[in-house]
Amino acid sequence: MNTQTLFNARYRIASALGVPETDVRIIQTAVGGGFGGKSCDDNNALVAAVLAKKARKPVKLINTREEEFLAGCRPRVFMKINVKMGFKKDGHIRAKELKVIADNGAYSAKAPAITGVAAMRHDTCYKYSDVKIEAKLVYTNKVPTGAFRGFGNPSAEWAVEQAIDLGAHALGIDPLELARINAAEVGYVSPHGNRVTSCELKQCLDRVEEMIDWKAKRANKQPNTGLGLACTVHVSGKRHFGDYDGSSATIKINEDGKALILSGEGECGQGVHTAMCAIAAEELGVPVEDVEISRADTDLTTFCLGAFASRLTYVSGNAVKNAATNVKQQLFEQAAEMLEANPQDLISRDGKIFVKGAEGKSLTVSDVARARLFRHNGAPIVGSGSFDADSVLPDATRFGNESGAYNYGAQAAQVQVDPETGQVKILQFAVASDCGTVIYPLGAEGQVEGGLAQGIGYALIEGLQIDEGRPINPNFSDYRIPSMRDMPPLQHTFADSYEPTGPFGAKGLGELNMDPTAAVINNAIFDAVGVRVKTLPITPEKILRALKEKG
Amino acid sequence: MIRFDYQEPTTLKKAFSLLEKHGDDARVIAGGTSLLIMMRQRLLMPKVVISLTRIPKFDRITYKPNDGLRIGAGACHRDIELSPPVKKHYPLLHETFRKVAQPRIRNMGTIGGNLAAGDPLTDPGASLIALDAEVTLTSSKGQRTVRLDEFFVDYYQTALEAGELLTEIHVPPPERPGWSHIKFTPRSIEDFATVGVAITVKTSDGTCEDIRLGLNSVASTIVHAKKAEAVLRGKPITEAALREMAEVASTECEPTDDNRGSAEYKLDLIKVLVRRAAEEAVQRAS
Repeated sequence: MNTQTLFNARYRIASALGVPETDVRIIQTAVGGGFGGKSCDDNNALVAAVLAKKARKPVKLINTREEEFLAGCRPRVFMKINVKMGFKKDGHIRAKELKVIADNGAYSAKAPAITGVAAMRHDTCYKYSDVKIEAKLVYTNKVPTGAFRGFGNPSAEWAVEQAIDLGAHALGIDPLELARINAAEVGYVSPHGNRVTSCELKQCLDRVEEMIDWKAKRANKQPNTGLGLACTVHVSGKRHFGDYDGSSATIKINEDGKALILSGEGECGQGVHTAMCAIAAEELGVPVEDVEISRADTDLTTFCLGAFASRLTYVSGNAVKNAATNVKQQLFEQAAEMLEANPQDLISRDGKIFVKGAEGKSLTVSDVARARLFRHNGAPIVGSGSFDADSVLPDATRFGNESGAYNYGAQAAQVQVDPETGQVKILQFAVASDCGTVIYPLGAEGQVEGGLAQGIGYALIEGLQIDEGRPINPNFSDYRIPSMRDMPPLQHTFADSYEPTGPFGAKGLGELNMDPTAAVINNAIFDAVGVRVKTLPITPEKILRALKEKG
Repeated sequence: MIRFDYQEPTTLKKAFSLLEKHGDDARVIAGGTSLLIMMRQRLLMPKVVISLTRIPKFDRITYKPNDGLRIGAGACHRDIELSPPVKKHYPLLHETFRKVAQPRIRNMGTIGGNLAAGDPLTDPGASLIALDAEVTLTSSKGQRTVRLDEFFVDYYQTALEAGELLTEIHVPPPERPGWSHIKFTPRSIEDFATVGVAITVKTSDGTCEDIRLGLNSVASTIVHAKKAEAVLRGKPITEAALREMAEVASTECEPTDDNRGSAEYKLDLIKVLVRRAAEEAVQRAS
């Protein structure tokens, strides 16, 4: 099945068919990108399951693109946000008042949670003492809404990061300085209880300042050209579903010494399988080539929540690491017998196990695994690991540390606006991300670039047009998405950072760089030509109209 | 999916007899980039689809200095874009075809299919009008030649009559060295133009000797802006004259609101982009 969340899919199908969960088996196919749309908001699998039960034959359901827009994976929750912010003269944020009206569409699934994120997540980005929020979610006759990368956070950051930019201009303070003055730090607890255990937001600001040459460009401002900045925060998993924000994994050692991870979290194109293999290899002390990972399958793995909330590297990474610790312990116990040593004196490196300081007399993982298996009372080496984040299920007042770790970032852009057509050209983008330790650099770069591309689409290109509740641009000719050639010159970097509760210091990254991009671009447009379009997407027509009104 | 008969005639003669036999039940396909979308959306439901891909030399591109460029209707956009004589003698065409959609589509879609569809949003027509192109329409009864600006009749309607096929595009030797092409695509570079402008100009001592102006995405057909040309033709080229020409061009267009912009915005764009294109073309001419 083409899903990000196998066990949730199993639960929903079992419920719909009225059968025990054990009677339903979900095997993940190669998922070419999820972005939230495949996290069980849609009814495709249920339709196929009901038909298959009725027909007693396999059923395959393939939507056309138009069907996908009308009744497939759901669009993000549209929102209207009013922000009021108070600052001290020195730039410190004093208070924030947020009024959110969110458009749920016709049926509700994750929209209440998404609206909650829009209302409060961003309080974790800067040091706030007082916030007041009023958020309303309303049913409408539109297409039902659901999860999409950012989960409400892009809407909130679009509004709040522009309010902060307005504050900077009103106070006559460089927006980058204003962000620096207010940036969250380790130890900060947000008004709703989010606890920050690692945060390199200030370092991210330093990095984008340098990459885009902020100071020199500000000092030497060219006509119709401007700089914009915004900061971002996201979670690494979210405690929301059944008071569990954990993961589990099993690792078995094959006779040839190679490790196989069994995980039900699933890969949806983001590269998490490579990251899991790297984490297991590091903990086991074997080359990464010696670790493989199974396709996610509800019959073969323990319960896993799946890929959402930028959670897998952090949550599943910890579970895999714990499983590897368990397996390593078993390997060391067997090896200790063979080397006539104590297990605690052993170490493993490059696939070899030896007594510390005596690398000359070493065993391979295969030697040890085979010795444990082929003997009286033989047994394979296999071990499981679990992890549940130290987060809190929010109470009725939405108080509670929603995630085990928070990832941070800053983006800056230089844009040029054509005053005769309103067209925006992004001259340069600079992105710095704090995702803790980078486990899989290529995958992490992909998340940054992909997040930014979708952020640019959200800012300048994409927009679902609705008439009488139905989308009227349900194809990629009318609903444009950014292409490779629409990407601006981009520089990006990862902050030196370490999350103490993460696997080898890692935390989430997937959604982080989609969240602030629209605000960055609009702040830069304001700096360039002094107008601010207040609805997305920021089209050249809207800019030209605003320029004419300004005169 | 729609059920239909698929025919692959190997000669034009066979294609004509199939067209005559099936009449309105038949549709012609080459690259399929336009027809298949319409079939999937059930806007067209032909009973017979006649492919022209197996007709020999239907994609041939030739150039002779006296005669100019002759493009077989079956030539795909990408082949025209990369053709050495096109690059050398018709830089406007090279530039225009380079901007059509993206390479995957340019490798499938043919110029004959593009023009015969009569879609006012696509790019090649405006540039071919700016180069005085004419098209050859062939049927079992014979051939006729039609100026491209007279070929486009209305929204998705052309001068093609029943039983006729567009077989060749002829572009005479270029007479106006100045040229410019602007494709305004603020959403994605791969989008259709919000407004497209193609211009060729010949100047002498600061005077416009001759000019052609074509526009796409601005009306129910691709537009040949003759009144705008007349503003500049034979006159000294001044900023005021270029502005006036652009203003007149906007009166020759009837854009409509769509998801690329409102009609009002497109009229604003025409005034700006025609002026800019003319400035660039004049610069290249001198």
